[in-house]
Amino acid sequence: MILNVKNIHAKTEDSNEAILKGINLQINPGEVHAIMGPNGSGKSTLSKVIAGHPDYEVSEGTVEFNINGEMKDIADLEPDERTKEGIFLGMQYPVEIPGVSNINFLRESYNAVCTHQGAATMEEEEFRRFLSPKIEKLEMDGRFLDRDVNSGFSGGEKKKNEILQMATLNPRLALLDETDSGLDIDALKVVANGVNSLKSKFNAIVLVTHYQRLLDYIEPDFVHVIYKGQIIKSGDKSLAKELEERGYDWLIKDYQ
Amino acid sequence: MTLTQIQSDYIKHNGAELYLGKEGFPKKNTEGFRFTPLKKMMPEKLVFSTTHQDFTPSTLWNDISIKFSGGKLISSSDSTLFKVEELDKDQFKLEFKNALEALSVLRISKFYKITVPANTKIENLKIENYSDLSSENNFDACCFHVEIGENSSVNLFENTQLKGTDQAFFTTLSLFHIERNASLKHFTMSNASEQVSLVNNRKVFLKESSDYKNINFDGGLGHNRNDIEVVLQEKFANTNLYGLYALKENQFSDNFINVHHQAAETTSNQLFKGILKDKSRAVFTGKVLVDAGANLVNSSQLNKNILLDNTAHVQTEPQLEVYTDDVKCGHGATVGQLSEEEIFYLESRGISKERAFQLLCQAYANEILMNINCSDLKSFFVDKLYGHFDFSSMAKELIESNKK
Ligand SMILES: Nc1ncnc2c1ncn2[C@@H]1O[C@H](COP(=O)(O)OP(=O)(O)OP(=O)(O)O)[C@@H](O)[C@H]1O
Ligand SMILES: [Mg+2]
Repeated sequence: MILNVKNIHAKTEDSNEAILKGINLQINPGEVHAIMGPNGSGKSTLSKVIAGHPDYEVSEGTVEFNINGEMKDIADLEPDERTKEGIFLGMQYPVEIPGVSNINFLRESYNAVCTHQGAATMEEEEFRRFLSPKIEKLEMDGRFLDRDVNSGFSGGEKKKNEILQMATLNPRLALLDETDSGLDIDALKVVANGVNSLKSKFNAIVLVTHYQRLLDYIEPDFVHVIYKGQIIKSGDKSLAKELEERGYDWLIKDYQ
Repeated sequence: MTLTQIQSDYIKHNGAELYLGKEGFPKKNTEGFRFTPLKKMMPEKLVFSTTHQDFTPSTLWNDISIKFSGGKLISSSDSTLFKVEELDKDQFKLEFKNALEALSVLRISKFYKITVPANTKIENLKIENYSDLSSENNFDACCFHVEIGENSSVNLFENTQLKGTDQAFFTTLSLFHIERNASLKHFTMSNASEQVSLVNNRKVFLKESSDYKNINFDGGLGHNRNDIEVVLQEKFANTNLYGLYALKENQFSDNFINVHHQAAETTSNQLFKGILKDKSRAVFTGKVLVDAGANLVNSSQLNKNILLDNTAHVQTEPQLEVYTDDVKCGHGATVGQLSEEEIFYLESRGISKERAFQLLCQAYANEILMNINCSDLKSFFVDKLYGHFDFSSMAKELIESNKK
């Protein structure tokens, strides 16, 4: 196993109402999971809780992650430590950081993770060479490297930049939160190809999405539906097709 | 020597009875001193320092340098690019605004005139201004006058290093005359081993098409006041004033900027940014005065601050006095915090909280530091900024408080 989410309950600090109310999710290496569900159901919250976002308080349950072959509770790991162990969160809303250049940011990130994992770090020139095929694959403009992180990037450019970061860090678990939203049809194909080429039997991918379209390109092994902080239904890829046709209403009625 | 004695002494030496007799040292109601804790900054009893020992200058720009210790010239590079003269203080011609400004002249017996002839280019000239105020001598001052000849361009790094206790006080008074078509890039930094107080008074006079840029970094002083006046005397003169202050503990930084547009088609731009922690305090007063007839003036002023915790404090006061219609003057001020989303974004990419703080502070400061067009000097400033805050314990504190 790579990730084991056991009965997670989470809320924000200043609210008493839980956003996540007992989520269970097991993910094995080589698997692709899709997470779907209506707006505001808790999909992003789940990804952020796994990545260690400080806004959320886990009141019950555990998140276990495979570290050196053993499932370990990661509650005490800071977000950067989780990333160094191989968790990657591609964000629904990537953050702009004016004043920090993309190339320095990417290299700093890469070197931090490599140092932790005992791999060699890279100087700028070597790092640019290392990035170059990845940038090409994502059909990005190389000039993005010398701009400030996400600053003034279009919606689609930001999403591509997230995947470039994923390609740079080569995580064991990638949580991609609505990577498809904001991408045009061609860019979606390009990004899907990029993600597919990073897939292996050693890593796992979680796709949070509203659309079947992405799942046509990246085929999920499992599809889960989150509603009001719980997984109300899990199935295979045919579930996503059914949702596309029928919406969520029938599931929600069943659930209630 | 008490302040009263200084005043009478000053009167005897300089004949400015009228001014001092009426007002003496600035008070709370003196313009530009409303938020300045002058009483805290100035020791009650000033003891003139008499030792002027040698010191270790900063590591860069040592090829062409001028060294002052305790306000006295101790060495100056042999160069055809500039000339340094020692002159009697009677020849320091200036109408003093207040006794604080006059204090420097009272203290010294000689001042220094640095002349860069016309058509000269100096890539890196350095002034090291050092004073050891750690013994019972707690007050010293330095005065100099810089003249940049027509068509000349100079990069000048002025590094003030002070040693002493929180009872030590140092003042500088400098005059700059920048002639037609000349340009001066003036990089200034002040450091002290302890919480010394420093008052810099500077006056810059700009002739036609001349340019004065100042990039200042304050960090590591107890109380620091920069009182800078720039007079744009002839058309097409331009000034850019950039200030960065990084404050912690009980540090205080006070920038009082006075830009005077006397001529038409002159431009000025002020950008001051602060990063404050603990109980530190910053004051920014930016005054822009546009004379009647000075048309087509363009002036902007911006003060931005980041508070690293909620105990720090800032005060901003823009003052515009415009006596003509045809001008563009903008001003603004902001106070904010480091963005939690930016910190998390960096962390989620494997960058530690400590490093995230560092990077974001540098990113914030970058708007100022990017104006340093010399890479060695820029890294020197960046290192000083990094070294100023204990980002590691800030990160630990935040991690602990998140766990609670
Ligand atoms: N930091 C927060 N502060 C307050 N409320 C929050 C916070 N994070 C999430 N919520 C609330 O929790 C609920 C779940 O939000 P979340 O972002 O996880 O939804 P989502 O399933 O990703 O929705 P979408 O499909 O619109 O992206 C929402 O009602 C949201 O307003
Ligand atoms: Mg979401």
